[in-house]
Amino acid sequence: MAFLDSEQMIIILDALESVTNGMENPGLLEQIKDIPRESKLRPYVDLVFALQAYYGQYPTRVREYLTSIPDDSPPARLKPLLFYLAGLAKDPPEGRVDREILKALQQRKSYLETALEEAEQFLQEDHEDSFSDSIAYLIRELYGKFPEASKQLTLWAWEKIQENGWDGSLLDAHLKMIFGDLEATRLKALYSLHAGLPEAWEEWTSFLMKLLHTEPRNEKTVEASLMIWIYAAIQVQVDAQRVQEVLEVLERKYPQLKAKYEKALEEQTARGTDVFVNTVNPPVSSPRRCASPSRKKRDFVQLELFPS
Amino acid sequence: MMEQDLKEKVLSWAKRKSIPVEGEVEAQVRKLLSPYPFGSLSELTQILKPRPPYVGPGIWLRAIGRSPKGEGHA
Repeated sequence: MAFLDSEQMIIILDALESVTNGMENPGLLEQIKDIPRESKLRPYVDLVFALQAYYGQYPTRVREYLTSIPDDSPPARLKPLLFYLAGLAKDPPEGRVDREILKALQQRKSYLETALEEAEQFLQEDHEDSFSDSIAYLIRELYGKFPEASKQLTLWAWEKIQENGWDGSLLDAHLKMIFGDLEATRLKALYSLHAGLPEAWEEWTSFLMKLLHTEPRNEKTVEASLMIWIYAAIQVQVDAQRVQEVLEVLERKYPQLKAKYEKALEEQTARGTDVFVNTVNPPVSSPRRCASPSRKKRDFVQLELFPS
Repeated sequence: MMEQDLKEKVLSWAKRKSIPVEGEVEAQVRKLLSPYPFGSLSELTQILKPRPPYVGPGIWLRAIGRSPKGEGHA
């Protein structure tokens, strides 16, 4: 067992000390990361990196490192506990040492966890304003460090607003403060698209119009937005006046883009298989108005976006 | 439950309609239609947890049968 007292082992123990005392030493971690997999020291290295991932709150990496540790090696004794601590196992192990570590690590809830619980309670109690305030607070707090998660939470919040038949104006106002008008409008329209709501086209139209009026703007972004707009348009009856508004701005600012899509749509219309209508459909401002259970069974009506 | 493949639906629709989609435009479509909504809030709970307290190496080492400093460790 001389390997356990080797110079390499001492470096591994120093690395373990650094990740568990809050003074992580990148130099030590660099020195041990390439210890070969066939080495008897490797399970200790994987334990160090599993602990580092646990403290860094990266459960996927915890799983990867723990899975690499052979079950018959001493570091494997910590596998059940670390699986549990990383949220990868439901029940904690019952060993005396496991309980001792769990007690040492006992955590209070974070203020964000408490805020989320409050928001869920407001949701159950049908308090829209309190729900909107709590969720907006969470979204704002998450945005700096976890921008994607904050936007996923935004989409979840819109889903709950819709399910409850709420107005959503307070949440909307909060989101515009957090993300800015353009991004808040995109997220609301994106939720409607994901959910297949009839107002998705109108909301994407609002986003596209804001995008077209924002300078400077990447033309590829405009083109992608236009494509999504057309996709949304062919699935619902749309407001012909709104279509004209978009086309006029497009003609003025991106005539080449309008020409490109005009051709594509003309080819589409030449097949003669589609029904073309310019139907005025009152814009829907409130999700409450679209809460019909039959909303997904809407007519599939195609629209001539670029009439000659 | 919400749709999971909106990006692919838009892009395959464009392909069916013979709309040429440049790589950068496709990337923008994907970006504009991201992210996916949370399937459940449990995905968020892990993020919200506070960083665990640092308890030092001793407790971990004892659990795997090592003394805190190890034999031969100054």
